[in-house]
Amino acid sequence: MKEKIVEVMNVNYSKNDVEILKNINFEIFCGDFVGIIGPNGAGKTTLAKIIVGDIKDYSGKVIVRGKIGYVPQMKDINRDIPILVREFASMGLYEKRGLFRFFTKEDWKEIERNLEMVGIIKLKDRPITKLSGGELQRLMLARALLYNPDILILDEPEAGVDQMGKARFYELIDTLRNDKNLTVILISHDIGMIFQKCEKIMCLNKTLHCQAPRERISLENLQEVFSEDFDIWIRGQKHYEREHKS
Amino acid sequence: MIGLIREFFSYDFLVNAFIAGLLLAVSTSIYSPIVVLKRMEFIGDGTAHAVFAGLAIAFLLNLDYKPIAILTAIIFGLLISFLSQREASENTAVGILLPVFMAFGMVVVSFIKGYTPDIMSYLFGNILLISLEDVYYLLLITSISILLYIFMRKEILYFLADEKTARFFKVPITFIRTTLLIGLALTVVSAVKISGVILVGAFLVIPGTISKIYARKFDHMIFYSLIINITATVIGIIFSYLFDLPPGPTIVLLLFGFYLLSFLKRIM
Repeated sequence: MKEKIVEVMNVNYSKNDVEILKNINFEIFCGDFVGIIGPNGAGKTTLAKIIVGDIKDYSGKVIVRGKIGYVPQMKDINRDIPILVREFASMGLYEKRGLFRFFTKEDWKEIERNLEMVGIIKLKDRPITKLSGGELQRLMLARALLYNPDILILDEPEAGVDQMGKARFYELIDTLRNDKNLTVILISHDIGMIFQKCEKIMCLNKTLHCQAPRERISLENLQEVFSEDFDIWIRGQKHYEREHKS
Repeated sequence: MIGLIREFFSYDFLVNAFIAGLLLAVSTSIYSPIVVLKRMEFIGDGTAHAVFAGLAIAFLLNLDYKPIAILTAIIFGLLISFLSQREASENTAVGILLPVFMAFGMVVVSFIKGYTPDIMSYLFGNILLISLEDVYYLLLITSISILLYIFMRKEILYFLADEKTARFFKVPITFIRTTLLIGLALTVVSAVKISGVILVGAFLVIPGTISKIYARKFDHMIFYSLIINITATVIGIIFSYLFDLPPGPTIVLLLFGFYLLSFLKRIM
């Protein structure tokens, strides 16, 4: 039996009298690769922020047994700032040094190792103002990895990244998961990719409509979460297909 | 030329003005990139107007202006920090509080009997009234600003680039924001005699705006701002001496001239 690494019990969250999450219960086990899907405004990011500890005024209980590496949505970043790639990544090591302290040579080596791991070592002295969406996504991943996490939470990592970039990014996640024995929680709109990669899938729209291994999730489940007339694009291994609700 | 320089440096007040101008150029060039990158361009103006309220109180009660100006500037900085974390952006917070402090200052001024010429000199600044004590204060503030930049460089960068997630990585964002706003408040107080309440914003906005266009690194932004500020200050003071112009506004016009040049260079 694998160890429980995240437990979410009876979580409810409202903001300005609007109910955002209702009665959320689930468990994630060590080494799981979990995908969370749901339409816009379903509360996916809110749920991530609750697990991460960014939102605290929810009711219910959340237990996390491990360190989280958080890759938030790209739109949180001010891409106008002339901060170098390696400087940005160093944020992941901040906890180790803290206020008024300088990073050591070893710290910078570790930062470079992580930039190498995510494949952007060549960009280490480039300002983030000159990065593409895919490169910035990798940089945020490197920053999260430098935090030395047990759990990786990725919030819509495909946003603003081209198709090739997406595919390579997911491959990278796979590799890291195996190498570092990470538990991964992936929030995404990319239903096809989630079905292809994740072992367990949660469908969220204010409340959890289904959570099961991917084999047991049906099109009906998805249509319950998304609206009824939703056309689902499913990306197969080598092709796209479209399934209509007739 | 040499005769002119000798003549210039034979006046104590001119030497004081010159040193004060240079020190202000250094400290504002550290804050200017932060102010511009964080899109809080009006913070300088806001703080300066808050200082006006402090000056009014000091004149009414016949107290030394500096401690009270510092106090009001810090209160203003803390209020902005508080509001901008909860309610709105820094600019909105400044927009709300600037007129309030200014109005308060005006009400206080109305209680002062008789003519209040000194208040006017603080509104527009008069670099030629700089005392040795002012120079020491500027030296202290400039040193603090430089130390902040050296020891909090990475925190400032995190604060600018990704404030939200920085909190997650245990970066003390509230501390950084408050420290920077207080540092900025102290700098503005030090600038009031030189540029006046109304002009201080130019030192904080124009250099950062120009340097942002050309800099690849944050440090370059500070360096370019420094060059812009020092050039404008030196030329400004010399011009104002030669042509009998008010120094503060002359420096501001020169800063704007630099901005115009960089703008023209880009569109041509």
